Amino acid sequence: MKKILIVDDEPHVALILKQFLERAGYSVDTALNGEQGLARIAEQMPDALITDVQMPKMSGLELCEKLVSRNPELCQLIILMTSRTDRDIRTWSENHPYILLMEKPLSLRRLVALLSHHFETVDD
Amino acid sequence: MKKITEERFGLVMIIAALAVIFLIAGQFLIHRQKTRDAALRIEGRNVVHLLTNLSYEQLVPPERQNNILDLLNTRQIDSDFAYAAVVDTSGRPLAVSSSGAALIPPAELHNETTLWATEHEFQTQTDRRTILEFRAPLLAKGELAGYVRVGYFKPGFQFQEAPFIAQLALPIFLLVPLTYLMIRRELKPLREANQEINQALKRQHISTTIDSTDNFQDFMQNFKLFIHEIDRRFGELNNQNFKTKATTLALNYNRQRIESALQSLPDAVLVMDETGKATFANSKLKTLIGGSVTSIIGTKPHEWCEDKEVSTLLARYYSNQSRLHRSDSVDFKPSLCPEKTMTVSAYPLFTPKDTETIFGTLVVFQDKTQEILAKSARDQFIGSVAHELKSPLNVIHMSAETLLDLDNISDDDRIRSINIINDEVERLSTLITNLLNISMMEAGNMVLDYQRVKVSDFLQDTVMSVARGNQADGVQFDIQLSNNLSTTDVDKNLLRIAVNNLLTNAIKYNKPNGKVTLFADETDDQLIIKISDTGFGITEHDQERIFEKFYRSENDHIRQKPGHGLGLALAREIVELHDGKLSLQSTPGEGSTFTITLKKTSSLLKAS
Repeated sequence: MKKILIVDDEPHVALILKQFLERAGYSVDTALNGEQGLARIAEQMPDALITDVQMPKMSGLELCEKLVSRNPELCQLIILMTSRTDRDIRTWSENHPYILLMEKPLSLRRLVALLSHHFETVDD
Repeated sequence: MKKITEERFGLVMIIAALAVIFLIAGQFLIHRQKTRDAALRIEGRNVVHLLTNLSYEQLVPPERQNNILDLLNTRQIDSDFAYAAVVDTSGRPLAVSSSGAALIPPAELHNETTLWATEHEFQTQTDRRTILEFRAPLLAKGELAGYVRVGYFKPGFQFQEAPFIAQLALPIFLLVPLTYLMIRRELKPLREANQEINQALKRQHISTTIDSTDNFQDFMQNFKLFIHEIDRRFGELNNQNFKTKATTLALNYNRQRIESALQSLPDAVLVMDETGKATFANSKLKTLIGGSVTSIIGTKPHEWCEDKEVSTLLARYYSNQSRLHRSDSVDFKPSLCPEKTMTVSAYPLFTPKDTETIFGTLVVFQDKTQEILAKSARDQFIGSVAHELKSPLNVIHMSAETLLDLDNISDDDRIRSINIINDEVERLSTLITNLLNISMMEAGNMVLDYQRVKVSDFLQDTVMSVARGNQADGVQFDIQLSNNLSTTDVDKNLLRIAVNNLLTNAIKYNKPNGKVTLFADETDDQLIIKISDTGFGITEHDQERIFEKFYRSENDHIRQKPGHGLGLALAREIVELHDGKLSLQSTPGEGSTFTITLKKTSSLLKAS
């Protein structure tokens, strides 16, 4: 079973995502911010990471930067949920090709499709 | 009147001198003539008198005897003696002696008989010389025997006088050139002065009727004209001086007014001349240059400005190669206060008549820090609002999608999703209400609707409604209302929002099974409402910013609770609109107390 880590400071978002992805057959863990996320990753490396951008303590971007520098090979797929489509994040993500941007409001079906496609490609 | 030039003056002097000489010589000659004439007459009378006193025989001697008359004649050498004769009563000459040249005039001319001495004048018939004849009767033995006639030539001009006259004339004549030279010498400075005056008059464009330069009268005339002109000019200058003084005073006054206006501008202002030197700087520039403003007057920007952007911009307004003819501006952070952001704008100053000629540059330094902060605050606010609006929408969207998955969803999940949607809609609604209230209050068009309320009832009601709406995790309410609570004038609906927000926070951020205390008391002039909790408390860092809009603590416990950071901002705004104060005391880990202090008097005054 593929492990997915969800990092979001909005409890409702984490809850819904967790519920939906679990139904889709994934093992889901949640964290409230970047710091917690890093701690979870240190405990257990997820197969995919879904994170919000705006969060207290450590933002999604900082979390990604930290992951890239610490263990780039470990993380296969990072999905960044953003309500902002500003140029800064777009240019930032261009330097990180394995990071996918998904704009809010998030489509759960598209998310699940994206994940299954990714894992199929990886497994093949 | 014909003018007498200097050359003519010499001639005139010569003529005058000659005239004087002739006059003197003439006078001298006349005088000599008269003297001689008088002497002749005396001599004649004496001679005649002498002769008549002689005896007839002595006068008319017998033949061949020496005649006394001849004696007389020979004695009279070089004199005017003409003749001497003794005639009888009929005029016939008895004895004659003449100088030779003279002929004795005929006696019949004088044939009348006279017994006294007479004098006659007549002219010789040959050479027309004037003869003065003295005649006296000659008595012989008491009888008239005849007459004695003595003639003299009337004295004429004598050439012997000429050398004397010449001696007299020479010094007079010599005086002329001497005097002339002396006059010329004395007149020389005068002539020079005259020339200078003439030149001065010409320089001053004063027309003179006199074109001669070497005449004393002309000089005096020019001098008078000059003095008159100088007097007139002095008058004009005095007038001009007065006018200039008055204009200067007016200009000074205007300049001071303009400078005062420039000084009181909120921005730093600098005026440069066309060479880039500062001619004016107001006191606001002090903070930028870090010293006295007067020290930069007369210097160029690179001498006083440490900010390269500024000196580069300003250099373009006085360097000759690429002088800018339009305004330009640049933003910079002053090296002396880097926390500020300034905009320096330069405006070329054109001369009023010629829009091509720049005669200076106006430089204005504006502090854009507040503007930039305000803009960034606005951007941040909009960003926060967008985020706060989008987040619940995102959740609603995802929940709806979950509900659509009819096949896989359990009843529990469905109910949970619906509850989540409900929560998020409420959250949106509260957010929008709060935003509206805040913007209304900030725009200043919120008019408080004061109503008299009974404080204890108002607080009880509010607590009850909060308690109903929040199924808090076993939070206990402790309501401590003083017995002396009276009525007060407040905007009931607004104050309810403030108290409601404080109570909601006290519940939301409390520990499980914690306690919320509502305390209210009243003094003579104040109403105090305190809302305390036993929650996480607020760190000092958070206390500083907790009343800011959209500020939320980074504390995980707090972040787990729904909220958008507007409740406290709104509560403080409402309390301050009531002229009250909202303060906070908190100890992290123990809890927080928010205190509302309202002035009773001011509320009453407002109500009236």
